[in-house]
Amino acid sequence: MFIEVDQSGSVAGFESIVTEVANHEGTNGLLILACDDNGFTPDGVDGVLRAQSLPLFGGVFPQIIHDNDKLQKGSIVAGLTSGIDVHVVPRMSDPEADYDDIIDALIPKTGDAKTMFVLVDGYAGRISALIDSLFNIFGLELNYIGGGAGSIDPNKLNMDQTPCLLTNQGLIKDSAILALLDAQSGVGVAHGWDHKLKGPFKVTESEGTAVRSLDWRPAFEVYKEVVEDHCGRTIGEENFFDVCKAYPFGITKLEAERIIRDPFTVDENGSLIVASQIPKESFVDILTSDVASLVAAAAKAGRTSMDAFKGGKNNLLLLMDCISRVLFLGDEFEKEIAAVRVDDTPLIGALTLGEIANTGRDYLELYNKTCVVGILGE
Amino acid sequence: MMISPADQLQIHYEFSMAIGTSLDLRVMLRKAVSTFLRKLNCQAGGIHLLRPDRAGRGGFEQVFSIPRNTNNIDAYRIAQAQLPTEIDGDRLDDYLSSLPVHGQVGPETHYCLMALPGVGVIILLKNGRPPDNQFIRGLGPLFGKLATACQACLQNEELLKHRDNLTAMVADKSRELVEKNAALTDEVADRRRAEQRFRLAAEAMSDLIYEWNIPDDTLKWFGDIDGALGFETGELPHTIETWVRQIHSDDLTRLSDAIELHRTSTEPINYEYQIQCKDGSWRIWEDYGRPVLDGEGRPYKWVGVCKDITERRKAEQDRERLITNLQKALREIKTLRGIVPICAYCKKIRDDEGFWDQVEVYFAKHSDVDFTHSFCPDCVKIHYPKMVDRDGNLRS
Repeated sequence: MFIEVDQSGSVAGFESIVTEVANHEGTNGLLILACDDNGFTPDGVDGVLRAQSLPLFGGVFPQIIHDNDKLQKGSIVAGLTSGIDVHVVPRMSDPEADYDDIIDALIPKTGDAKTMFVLVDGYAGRISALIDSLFNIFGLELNYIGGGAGSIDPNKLNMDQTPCLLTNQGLIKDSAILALLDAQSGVGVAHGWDHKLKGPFKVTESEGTAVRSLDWRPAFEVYKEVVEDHCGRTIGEENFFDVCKAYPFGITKLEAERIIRDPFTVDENGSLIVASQIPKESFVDILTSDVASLVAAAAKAGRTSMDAFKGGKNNLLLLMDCISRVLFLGDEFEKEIAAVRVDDTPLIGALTLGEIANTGRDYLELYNKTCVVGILGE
Repeated sequence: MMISPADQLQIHYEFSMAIGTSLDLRVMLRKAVSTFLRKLNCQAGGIHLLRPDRAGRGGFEQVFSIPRNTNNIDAYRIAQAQLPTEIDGDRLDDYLSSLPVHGQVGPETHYCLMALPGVGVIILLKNGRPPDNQFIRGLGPLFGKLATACQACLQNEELLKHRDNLTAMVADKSRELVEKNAALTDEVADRRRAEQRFRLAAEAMSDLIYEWNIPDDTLKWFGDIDGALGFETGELPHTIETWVRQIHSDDLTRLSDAIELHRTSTEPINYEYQIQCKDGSWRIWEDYGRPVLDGEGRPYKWVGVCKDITERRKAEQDRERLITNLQKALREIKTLRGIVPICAYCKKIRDDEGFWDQVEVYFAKHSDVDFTHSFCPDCVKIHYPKMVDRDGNLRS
C-alpha cells in the first residue's frame, strides 16, 4: 500500500501526489481524501482528475486523518493494488430516482469484489434510500464502508451542497460513489452513546431530515426540556449545536447498539433538523455519553474489524469517524485515534457527515455520530 | 440480552406501522420486511407464500426477499429447504401451527421460519445469538397482520388483473363499436342520400311513395301527400289511422280488412279506392305495395306507390260514354249498299220488305239524303213547251 500526503492543500501539491501514487508500481486505483479547507473547486482540480487513466474515487471532508494526525488542510492519496471498479450514482436528491434500477444498471454483477466503498454527498436528500437499495441488491455479499463527504462550518452549520466527491469525471456533488474492491476487509462499527436520558418518544411527525413533533408536541420543545434539565443550560438556535452535540437521538434496534441520529439545528417551526432521516412512527431515546465511552466504542470498533478481517497482506486501516464526534471530543479526539490504531498499520481516514458500514453480520445502516473502522487487505 | 418490555412494545409498534402501507405486494413487503430486518438486526429475510393449483395442492413460492437473491446465501437455502415442497391447501394450517422452527448454520448464523397465518411463511436469518423465543412468539399477531396484508395485496392483484382484462375487453369492444358505428354512419348517410334521391324523384313525379311501418303504424310519404289532398304541409298526421279516415265509406270496409290482412300477409297490395280531400272532393287512388320482410319472412314494412287516377277514371268514363254513343249512332247510320231493284218505267224502288217506293221515299228511308224537286230540260220541253224556245233553252 503506497500512500502519499500533501499538507499544503494546494492543487499543485494535490496533483503531485496523485501523479506519484498513480505511477507507483502495482497501483490499480486511487483512494483520495481531501480537506474542505483546501478550497478545491471543479475548475481547479477537474483537470487533474480527468487526466488520470486509473480509476479513482474519494471525497472532500471537514478534516482527514493520516496515522495519528488529524489534518485540517491537505490531501491523502492511497494507491490500491487490488482490482477496483468505480461507479457513480447520480441524482442523490431526486425523489423519483429508483436506485434499485440505477444500481442494477451500473453493477449487474459484483464479480470478485468483496468490499464496497460507499461515499456520498453528505447533504444529498436520499442517502437512506440508496442504502436500502444497496442492501436489497447485494445483501451481505459485500462488506461496506464509507460515509458522507461535504463541507461543514460548525459555527454556522450551513447545509449547502457543494462539489465534494472526487471521480474520474471531476469534482461533483449530489451523487454517490460505489467503489468495488477485490480486497478482503473487516469492518467494525460502534458509537458509545449508551446513556439514555429520557425516552422513548414517538416521532409523530417528520419530513426528510426534519423531526417536527415528538409525542405530538413540537420536537424542539420536548428535546429542550430533557437536555436543559440535564445540562443546566438554556438552548437556543445560536448555541444549539454547541450544547446538543452531546445529546443525540437513539433508535432502538434488537440486540444491537441503537442507531444514532444527530440533531444539529432547529428551524423556525420548532422542528429539529437531524443529520439523517428518522422515519415517522419510530421511537427515539435522548442519549448522552462521555469521552471514555466514546473512546471505548472506537476501540471496540477496531477490535470488531480485526475479528471480522479474513486476512490479507499490505493492510490499510480506515477510519470513518463522524465530524460531530470529533467536535464533542475536542482535543481528546486523539484518544479515539489511539484506540483504533493499535499497531503500525497505516491509517487513513476522514471525519464524515454520516457513516455507512456493515460489519458483515448485520443489516446495512446509515449511522450518525458513529466510529467505523475498516481493515483493507491489499 | 433480554429485551425489555418497553423495547418490545416499541419494536412491535414500529413493525405494525410498517405493515400494509401499500396494496402493491412488493412495495408493501419491501417496507415491512426491511423494517423487520432492521429492527431485528437480521442479515436476510424472505416471504414464501403457498401457491395452490386448482386441485388445492402446491408449494411455497418466494415472493419477496432482502437481499433479492438468496440463492447464494447458504444459511437461507438451508432454511428454505425446511419448507415442504408440496402441501395440500387443507393441511397448510396444520403445517403453519407447527411453526416457528429454528435452526443454526455454522457457529453463528441462525434461521427462523415463522407462520404467516393462512398464506405462508417468513424466513429470517440472524447472526450472533439465536433470536429470543418468547420475543419471536410475541410477534405472532404482527405476522398475522402481515398475512392479512399479503392477502389484501393478492386480492388487489387479482382485481387489477380482472380490471386490466375488462379494460382490454372494453377497449376491444369500443374499437368494434367505433368501427360498427362508422359503418352504420356511412350506411345511414348512404340511406339518407338514397332517400333524398327517392324523395326528389317522388316529388318530380306526380305519384306518392309511402312507407308503412307496421309496428307503429306510421306512414312516411315521399311526395307532397298533404298538398295532394289539399291540406297545408304538416296538417295531415301521417298515420294509418288518419289515412283510413279519409277513405270513402264504399271502400272503407274493404280497405280496413286489407290493412289487417297485410300486417301479416306478404301478398302484394293492389287496391283502388276513393280518398277525400280537405275540400270534400274525392280523388281516386291506385295503391300498389310490396312488403319488406324481417329475418323470419314476416312483413314489418310496406313500400308502395299511390297514383291519383281520378282524371284517368273520368277519362275512361267519358270514353265509355262516347263509345256507347257511337255505337248507338252506328246503329242509326243509313247506308246504301249492294243491288237496288228499280222499275224500269216509273223508277220506283223495291225495299227489303217488297214494297215499291218512290225514289225519294226510298232514299229518305235509307240515307240521310233529302230531295228538292226541279225539272230537267228534257222534261220541261215535254211538259212545259211554252217555257222553252226553239233551241230548247228555258225562257227567262
